Amino acid sequence: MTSLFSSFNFFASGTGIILTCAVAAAMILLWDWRASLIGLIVVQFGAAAVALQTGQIEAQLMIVQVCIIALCTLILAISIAQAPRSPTISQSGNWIMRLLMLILVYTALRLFDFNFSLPFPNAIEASDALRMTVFFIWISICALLTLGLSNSPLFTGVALLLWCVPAHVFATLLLPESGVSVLIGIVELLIALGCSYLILTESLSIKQRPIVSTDITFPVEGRRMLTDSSMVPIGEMTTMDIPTVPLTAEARQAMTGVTLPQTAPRGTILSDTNLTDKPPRINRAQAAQSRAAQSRAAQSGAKQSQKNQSQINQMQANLSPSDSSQSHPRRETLTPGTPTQANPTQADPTQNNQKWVRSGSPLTRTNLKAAQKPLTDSLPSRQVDQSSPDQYSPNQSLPNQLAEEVQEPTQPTPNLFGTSTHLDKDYINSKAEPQQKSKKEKTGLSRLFNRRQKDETDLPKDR
Amino acid sequence: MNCFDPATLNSPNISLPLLILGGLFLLALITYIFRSWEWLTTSVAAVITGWLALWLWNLDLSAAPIQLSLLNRVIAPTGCLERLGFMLQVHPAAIPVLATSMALACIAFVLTIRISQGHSFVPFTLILLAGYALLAMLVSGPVAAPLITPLLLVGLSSIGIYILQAGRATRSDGPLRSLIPAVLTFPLFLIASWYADRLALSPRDPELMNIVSLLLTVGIIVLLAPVPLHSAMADVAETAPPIVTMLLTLLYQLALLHLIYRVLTAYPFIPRTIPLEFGLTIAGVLTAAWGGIAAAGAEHPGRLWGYAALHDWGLLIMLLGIPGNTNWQIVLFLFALRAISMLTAAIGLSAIEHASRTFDSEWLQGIGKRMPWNSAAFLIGGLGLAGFPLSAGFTGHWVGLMTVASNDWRIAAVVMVASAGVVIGFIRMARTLYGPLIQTRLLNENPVGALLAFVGILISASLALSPQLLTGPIESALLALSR
Repeated sequence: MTSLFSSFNFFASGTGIILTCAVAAAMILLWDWRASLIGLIVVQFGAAAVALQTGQIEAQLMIVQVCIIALCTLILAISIAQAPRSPTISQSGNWIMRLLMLILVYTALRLFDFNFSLPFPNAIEASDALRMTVFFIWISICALLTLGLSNSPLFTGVALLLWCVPAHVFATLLLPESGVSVLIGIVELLIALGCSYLILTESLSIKQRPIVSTDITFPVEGRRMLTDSSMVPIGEMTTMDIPTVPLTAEARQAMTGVTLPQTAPRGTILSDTNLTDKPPRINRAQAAQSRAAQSRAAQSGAKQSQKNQSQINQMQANLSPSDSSQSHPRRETLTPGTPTQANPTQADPTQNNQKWVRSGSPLTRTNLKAAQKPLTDSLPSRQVDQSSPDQYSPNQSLPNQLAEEVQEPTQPTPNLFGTSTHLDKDYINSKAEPQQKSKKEKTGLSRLFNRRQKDETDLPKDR
Repeated sequence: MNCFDPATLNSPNISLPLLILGGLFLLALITYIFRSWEWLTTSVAAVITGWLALWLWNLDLSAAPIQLSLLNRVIAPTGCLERLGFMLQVHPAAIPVLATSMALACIAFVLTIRISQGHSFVPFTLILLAGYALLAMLVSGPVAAPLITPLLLVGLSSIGIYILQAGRATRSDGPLRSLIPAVLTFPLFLIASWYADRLALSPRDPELMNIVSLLLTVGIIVLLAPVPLHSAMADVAETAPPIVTMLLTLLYQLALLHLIYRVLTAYPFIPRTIPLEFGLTIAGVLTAAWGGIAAAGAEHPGRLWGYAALHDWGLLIMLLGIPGNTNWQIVLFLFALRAISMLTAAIGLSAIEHASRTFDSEWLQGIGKRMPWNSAAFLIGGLGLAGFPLSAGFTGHWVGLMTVASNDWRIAAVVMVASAGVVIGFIRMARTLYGPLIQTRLLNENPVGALLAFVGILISASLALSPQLLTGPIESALLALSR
């Protein structure tokens, strides 16, 4: 290892120092976790080489420092590998901004002669001291810039370690016999462990959603959602069939002013045991009775229909991307009364197609998927006439069927999914089981759709 | 000095630092193994730390060694432990810090019996407690004891991350930012120690004195985390469990006050060479003002509490900058009241957080109708941090403002206006908490929780009406520190 330093003596030369400084700047410019971690090791190596050049320090100490930083980067890299690919939610600006920041800092350093000098033992030559001063100051500035530009555990961890690199070398030079170097090494490892833990918890709380530039929604809204840890993207639910109920004008009117349901604690880690509350019960006898007296109850059924329709539309608005009609062809076939095709304005382009649900929703993903099985599939086949949507009877519309089947719970439910704690898990599962076949039938399309979604979500270099 | 030699474990003498640190580490290990039995571990930890707090507070270092008949050992109270270049000893100045830390931990454990703050809370807190005890007992180290403290604080902050995040899938800004001040400052203290060594050789060198003063002043101000380095406090209060927030904030700040006292005692030339007072006053005014402004606009209860604590901390920073010997008495008085207010607020806030499912706005609305005592505890504790009349913090703020006003009345006026901002924030919060109830499924508060909240309110009210209750303990602590 000692020979390694001697073979890389280049790092201690003027060009080597400039190169190491450039690597530190490139870490900011590229803003990529791989570049940052590799750059961190390179900077530590360069700092060790520069310190060794003075001849006032033992090579073993520098080797230990390089090993510690390598271990720290390994810890961080393992956490990154454990975390799903996600963009950093704490945006660092784009590369142009970072470049301008670097230029600004460099220009400021050149223009203003700070005449700053670090203390060095007398045995160190003035030229070496000057070189190390410039090097350490630049590394420290890069660390502060990284710290200022980022709020993510990874880059903050890298910045803190970068800050520790010159401090570590410097402490070894100034206080060689004190054992402070060992303490700094321990502290570096603790910082890396802490940040790696936070990387993992961050990945639990935040899922990514690509910000589609062509989306009608202003990207800032998407970014706001990304920064809101309570929001989980619907992208995770792309395999689910959303109840395909048309968006009528009345329903949209009912939706006005409807806010996102917030019934669950923010940021809680959920389990299936959350589904313990009283569910909305299905009274099949009542449903049969209602079917028999369908014509009698047409008028009252229509009112109930509107109510349930607004509920489902609200749920649809909360859960499904508006453009999902393209990927869910059945939506159009199920249009009762006022078909979407007949009234194209219903496909409201201003609706945010990146709808989100609260991460704290007591529905787990598994149960949510089960709950999102097409409700139409659970209805008698006569009610779903996919081939002739125009012949669909308003009296037999999906909301009417739901009105028959769903009995209101004791507590008012503003939204089916908003009050998802009321959903009966057993009922959901019992409803979900018969759907396996239809799901398999759609596997090809769903897979294709998911692939497309995945490609869209395949993000960003910066994470 | 009769330091304990680890090589002679058969020696009949056990030094007190070894007993404290070893006991806490052993307890941490045991409680970690049984961490899923949270009720049991918190109870045991509460009993032990409470007993330690009482015992240390009443400890007479001049007394004869204590015989441990069970272990057939003798505890030497003044015995020291020397290891890895560190020398630890229970000296008189360390006793109030140790006892206060243990008492705070004990209270936190008692509160955690009822509302869980995470499975790892007890073992990690015990390790942190051992770390802070080490800082208090540190007599000398590889470099001068006060100057190595920031480096050790980095390690303690790193360990604190785990219980602040507590496995919650929430933002990690708070725990992450809590690392930054200590990491940024430890190189300054190390460089200062190098200059301080030079200064010992030429004690009259003004240049060296200037450099040491400058480095330590900047380091202290950054460690105090005033605005704009304050964000950790509000972020932690928003996302971390309230009791953990209270405990770690107070432990860190107590260690910081002890550090400042030791630095100013060891390097008395600092105020003469560098305008430390000016720097602390500016930092304090900014912090108190921003705390008030931000609290007026805060809607999240945790964040509001964090900003109120920030405002109070700003006043305390300002008082640190006031010259004179009497200011330390006021600082300790204000810190004690701050601890009481934060504790009262944490009792209420933890119960509210538990019931409102992590401060969900729908569940928070009208929660005071079902949890009147806990809501009141939160409001009274928060208002105490603003120095609201008839709250625990009132007398401390009043004395602090009078002291500040005696130097510059305009600064006191700014703090008063900022306090009004905090009060506005809590009035808004009171309207939310006691407004119309939305979630009718919300259960009434637990009787034990209500009792704890009542006790917190009672203590706050008692100190508001009779602040002289704190005079004795503060004078004892100040006397011990000055020895």
